Amino acid sequence: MNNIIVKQSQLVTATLNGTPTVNRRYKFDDIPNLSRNNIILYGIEAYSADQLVSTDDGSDVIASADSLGITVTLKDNQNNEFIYQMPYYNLIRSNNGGFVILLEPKIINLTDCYVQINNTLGLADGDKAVFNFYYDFV
Amino acid sequence: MPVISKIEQYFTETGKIKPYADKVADYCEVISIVIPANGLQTIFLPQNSMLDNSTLQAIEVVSSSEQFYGNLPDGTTAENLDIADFNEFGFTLSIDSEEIAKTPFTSMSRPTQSGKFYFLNSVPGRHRIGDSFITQVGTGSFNGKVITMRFWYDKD
Repeated sequence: MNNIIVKQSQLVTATLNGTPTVNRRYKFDDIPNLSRNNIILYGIEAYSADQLVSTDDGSDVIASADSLGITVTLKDNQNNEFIYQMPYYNLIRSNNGGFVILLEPKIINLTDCYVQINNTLGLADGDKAVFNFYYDFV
Repeated sequence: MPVISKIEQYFTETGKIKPYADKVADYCEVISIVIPANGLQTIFLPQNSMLDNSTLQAIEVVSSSEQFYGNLPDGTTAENLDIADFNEFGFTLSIDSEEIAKTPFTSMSRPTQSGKFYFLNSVPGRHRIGDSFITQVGTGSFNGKVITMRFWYDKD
């Protein structure tokens, strides 16, 4: 089994703006230096509040129990949903024996990627889904 | 199909992956930092030219459940940070002027990740320890506790 070697990484978030609602989609937040179809993603990791309590701006990270209610969809620069509704829970590294999810390297369209609520559980307005992107520049 | 650069070739030939059971590195350096205050803060690491001139292979953060005491600069010891508090901290390694940004301590804690390392493979010149820093993103009170970081490296 292989594990990832981190070349470059950055925390990426999707904010649950408004009252959480089933089936609602929330696009990833814009990060200017990553959102110009200029990164090739080769690994991804997600965090709940058990791993990181808050984001840079002080927002709450979604609670561990609430991570069961969210899925993640990633789009490439051709708008293909190459990761479609993967459970957020599966992307949390410690749930996978410490292995980071490796992807076939793809150029991604960051701000078209989204998380979707399948069950609101204890999710609240302003909570953030937080990911670590392992990437290289194009 | 999306355009893919030579990264796939790179992936297999020079590696963005490493068998987790492989030897991590030949050497290990420990950096201990005393948490100077409570709540939100940024703590820079001391400059370390030896690590700057070595190939960093992995980083790990050591909790009190692995090693109860960490070292203080005056030769005494104090309790290491608890593993339960790791979710309040992140570490930014200065690579190419800051590109491994705010990795949560939990990602670098081996017990949390079933023993897996956080591999880096950063060659001399890419990283600079003295420009790297720890960020406390939570409001917990840990003043006086020690953060013990292990840097696994190879000499070039």
